[in-house]
Amino acid sequence: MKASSPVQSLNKDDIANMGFDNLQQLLERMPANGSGAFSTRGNSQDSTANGGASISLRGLGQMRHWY
Amino acid sequence: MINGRRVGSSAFAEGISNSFVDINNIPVSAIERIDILKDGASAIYGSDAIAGVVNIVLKKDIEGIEINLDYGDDSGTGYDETTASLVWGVKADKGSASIILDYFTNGTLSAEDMGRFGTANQSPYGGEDYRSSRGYPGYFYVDGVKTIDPDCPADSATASGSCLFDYGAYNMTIPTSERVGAIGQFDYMLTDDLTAFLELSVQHNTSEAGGAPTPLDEDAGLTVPGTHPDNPFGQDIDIGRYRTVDAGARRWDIESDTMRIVAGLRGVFNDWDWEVSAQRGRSESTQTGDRTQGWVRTDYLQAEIDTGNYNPFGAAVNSQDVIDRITTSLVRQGKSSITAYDASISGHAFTIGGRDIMMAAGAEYREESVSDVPDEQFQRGLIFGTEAVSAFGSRDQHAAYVEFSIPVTDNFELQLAGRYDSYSDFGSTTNPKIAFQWGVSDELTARGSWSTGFRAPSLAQIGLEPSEKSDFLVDSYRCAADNVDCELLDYNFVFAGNPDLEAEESETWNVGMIWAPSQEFDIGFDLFNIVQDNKIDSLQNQDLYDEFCGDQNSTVCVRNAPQAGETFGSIDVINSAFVNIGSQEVQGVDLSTHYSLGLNSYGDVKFGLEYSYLISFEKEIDGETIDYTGEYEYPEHRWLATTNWMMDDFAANINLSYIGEFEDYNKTRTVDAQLLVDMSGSYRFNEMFKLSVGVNNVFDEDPSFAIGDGDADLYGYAMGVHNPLGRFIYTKVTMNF
Repeated sequence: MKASSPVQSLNKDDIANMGFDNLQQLLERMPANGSGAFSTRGNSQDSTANGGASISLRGLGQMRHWY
Repeated sequence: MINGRRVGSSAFAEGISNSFVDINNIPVSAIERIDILKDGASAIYGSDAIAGVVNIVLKKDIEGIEINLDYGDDSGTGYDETTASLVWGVKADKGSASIILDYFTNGTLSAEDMGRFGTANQSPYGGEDYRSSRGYPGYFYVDGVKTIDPDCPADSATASGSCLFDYGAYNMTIPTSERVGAIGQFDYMLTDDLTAFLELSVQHNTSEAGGAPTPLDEDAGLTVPGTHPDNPFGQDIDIGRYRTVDAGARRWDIESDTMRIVAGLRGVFNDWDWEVSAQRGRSESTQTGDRTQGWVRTDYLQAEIDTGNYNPFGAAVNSQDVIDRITTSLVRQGKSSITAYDASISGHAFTIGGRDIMMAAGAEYREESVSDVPDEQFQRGLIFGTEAVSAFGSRDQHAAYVEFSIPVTDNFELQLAGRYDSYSDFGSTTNPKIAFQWGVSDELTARGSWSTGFRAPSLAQIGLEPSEKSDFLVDSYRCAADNVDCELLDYNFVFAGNPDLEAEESETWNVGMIWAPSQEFDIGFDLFNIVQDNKIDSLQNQDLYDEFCGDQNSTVCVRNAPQAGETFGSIDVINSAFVNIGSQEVQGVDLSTHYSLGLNSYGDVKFGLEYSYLISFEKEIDGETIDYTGEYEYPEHRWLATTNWMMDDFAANINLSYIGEFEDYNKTRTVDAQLLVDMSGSYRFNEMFKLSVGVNNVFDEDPSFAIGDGDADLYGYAMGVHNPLGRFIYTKVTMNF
């Protein structure tokens, strides 16, 4: 029931063709990602999200629940 | 979402209070499909579906075994990746089962590997000198007068008597990590109309984090007696700023365990599809540091200085014996849990004027909690220079939604949806959505939608206990009055949660067209606009500074007592908070096109382009509107172009990903665009065996130089935008049985 919504869909072949074994690196290449994305490469003694990664659709903030 | 269901958040929040779903918990080998729904969807999914939804559909309905083995590395650096995965599935008349096992590990990309992007002193390259004033050697107060350690090298000494330290070399650009996961999915048909299903997943991740040795400042209150054998001043003095480099770099070991179970029933009743399910998710993270990992306790250090055992002068390297007595072990523990129940139905609701109106409806109940407990040694103020987060929160929430699909004419379909959410903390909210799809002609389709949405405050934003963070500022008040602290220095900010926070609200619309003249070619564009109000933000550092730091007695900007003859003391701490302060409006265009071309005996080629253009990104805080379009970390253009060629058992790909230029943080220059080229090729030897080789970042492109913001970006590039990894070459073997 979502035909009226724009959807970018990547199937498993598209994913394999992108060449990443790490979801963060794959999603980082997506144009819909924006400011606010982060990953373990921001990890430091001070980072409060050590070990984690997230993307930020449209730069509107990390997805709390992927919603 | 995983398989269309909301997933629990990580136990540790990002940036102190931003809850997030940890995508490191989802193995790529387990993914069947990723759907990025780029539309407001709170009317169906509830909180957070403001800018869209990412749904990860896991592999299922598999028959046989697939094994993947993959190794790749960024040559000349410590970074490499090893992946092994096994996907197994079986199908029978009565049901299906699938199991996915995945292992991933990567090596460390160190500051040394990064060359010029591994130092905090970017001034030789046209950037800022972000070295720290907590130095080794450091500076002292002799008779209340700031006095630099006489052994401070000339290139580290500042005009105001600080001895700078480059912490960059201790940084891990990408730390090592290891992930092990298992996923099981099971379906069993109880009757023709009733199926039971179960999804189970467990994931165990470990990684490291860390940085330079412990920095100490005036707040630590350390002193050196005049009787200390190494004291060059021969009298009792205070330590100003110092760093225990001889105790080693600070390192954390991080371990997280995530578990998720979904059990439910689905079936058909009177032509209505229905489903009920229960979900339980739990995530536990532990961050530990021990005596060999640079964690210094100030009371232990003071005791060893008092007895004359520890020498804090002249960058002395103290004996291991003494180091063992000033260091400690630390533990931080985070937990997050989600329990959810939902029920939904969909089917043919009624017929009006000969047209079938379809309906979907559902209800949900959810409980969530998080806790993040730092080591009690942090709470007792014995550990310096590292932020400690402490947060507790829980809430429950229920919701109901309904959605109608109305074919108004043969080629015009209208969708109406609405959702009610009630939260135990901030109250309730109702969000509608209206959308249409119009088949203008056989080749041309138009679509559009309007909806409202919301984003509940994160549990950490509500339940955060005072937590420290350090950021760079110029203390211009003190500089003007007393001519000290005129350089960019790092200061402590303390954040606290706010139980009175309300939900962020949003309004989203999009309109678009798709033109598909043939099977081989389609092109579509969508214009979107998102307005967010009541946005939760911490107060801006500079605003807080401007408003409060000009007052020596401010309780927001707390200053130390001024030295004799001075107006202001140095800044001790600036108290910040989260408030429903801002609004923002984002507008942009997405373009998506696909073209496939048959080359007869030379196979088939498929081209694809996904392009996002940011028209405007305006944020309003305190009545002031700032347009971030093209500003720091907000490039206007991003695109991904893919080319895939297939002939018999050969396949090859070239992917280009582009992030456009944007202004540097201080607006004096432009940060260059980055174009990354990824290539791969594969050959299938037989039914059983396939070999792939590939190169990511083929041209070994460096991240684009950026002076940076002095907060997250200290090493000459925009870490949140640009990829630091060089040329990465990999080989992958796929076996099917």
